[in-house]
Amino acid sequence: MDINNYIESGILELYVAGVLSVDENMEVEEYALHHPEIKSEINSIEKAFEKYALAHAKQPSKSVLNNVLSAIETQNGKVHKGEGRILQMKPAAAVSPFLKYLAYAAVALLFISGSLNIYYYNKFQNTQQQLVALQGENEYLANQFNTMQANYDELAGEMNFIKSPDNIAVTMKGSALQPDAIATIYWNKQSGDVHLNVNNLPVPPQGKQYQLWAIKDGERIDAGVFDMDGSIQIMKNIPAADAFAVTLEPVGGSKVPTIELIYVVGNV
Amino acid sequence: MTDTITIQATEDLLVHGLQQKSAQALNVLYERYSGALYGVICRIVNDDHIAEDILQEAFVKIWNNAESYDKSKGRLFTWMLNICRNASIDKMRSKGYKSKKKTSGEEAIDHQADNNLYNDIRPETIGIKEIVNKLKPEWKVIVDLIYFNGYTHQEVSEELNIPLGTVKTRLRSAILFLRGIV
Repeated sequence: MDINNYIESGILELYVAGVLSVDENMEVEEYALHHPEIKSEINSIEKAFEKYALAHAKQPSKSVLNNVLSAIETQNGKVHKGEGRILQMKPAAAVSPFLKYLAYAAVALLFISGSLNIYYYNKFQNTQQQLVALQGENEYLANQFNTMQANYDELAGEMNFIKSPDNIAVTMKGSALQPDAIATIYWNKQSGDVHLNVNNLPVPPQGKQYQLWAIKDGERIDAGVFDMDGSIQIMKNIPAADAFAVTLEPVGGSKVPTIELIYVVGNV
Repeated sequence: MTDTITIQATEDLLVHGLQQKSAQALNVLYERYSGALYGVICRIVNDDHIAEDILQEAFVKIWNNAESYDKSKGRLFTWMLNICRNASIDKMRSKGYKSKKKTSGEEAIDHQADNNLYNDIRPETIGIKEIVNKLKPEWKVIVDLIYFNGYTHQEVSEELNIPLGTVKTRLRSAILFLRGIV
């Protein structure tokens, strides 16, 4: 198609004047879409006719606008009365490509940094929890250790005492009252220290307590009362003795042993 | 109150405002184009009172159909004028209005004489009016018949009893003249 001939044919003027048929209109629009020259020609013709219309302008009566506005209001119920200020839109200020990329980079870095912050904060939280748990465990183990250490020290002390060459062991055997009863004395003849280990004695009845006696030349010397706590107990100092015996006495012990209630006895 | 804004408001902004249902945009649009549209409607229906009714209906349609305006298909004024033309035609058909669409050539020329009765509603149209008045009468009558009365080339040729080719040439010359080319 010869575009100039088409323009010269005058069909575009008719198109703008709105006198073409629907088919003809579509044809013109189709051409305008593919030929910028036709489109720009149409635009010029539109402007020309617009001028022509302006030259024939007449003032309609004032009521028309009011009628239009009230018709719209009735129909819509709501029109943004005077709110819709028409603002001149400004094109965005030109930004240099470098600044643009810098901005993109900054945003990206900010995002990465933010992500890392979250990641490391979570890690820190976990680590702190683990630390608290470990500290608790550590404290527990330290307490355990101290307990064990104390036990060990005690046992070691006892062992040292028993192993000392100055010590002699005196096994006290059960009397007729309790033939299977047995207790052992570790006695240091030099220092007079007496340690007692109860191997087997019946649990004393309520209000009663065992009491150890040293016997020297027929004299009964109080060596102290003791409880059945399972450990080696330090008794009173006995400088000299021929034998040891345990009797059952009222709690707190007696001045004189109750001979009928001798449970164990052993000679040095 | 909106004079400066009005002047600056481009067609795009007007269309945008209209599509956003801004009454302000409608006011500006009315202020700017109602005179020209009313002038054309008057020429079509030959009755100022009916023309006002049509203008009113047309503006409501413009408001309601603002979304359908497609900038790529033509200027806003052309679109609005088409709405006014169609509203005029509907009006003339619907109310048993005695169609005066095909105003005779002489009547069209008579209208030309009435031009000085039209109120200029804006100072800038004075210049335009002078240009239009410099159009050769034999060109102008053709523009009027086609633009205001919806005649085709053929109908003008028959109405004025001049050859079809002459009609086309004169119309085209008139438009080129209005564009400031001739």
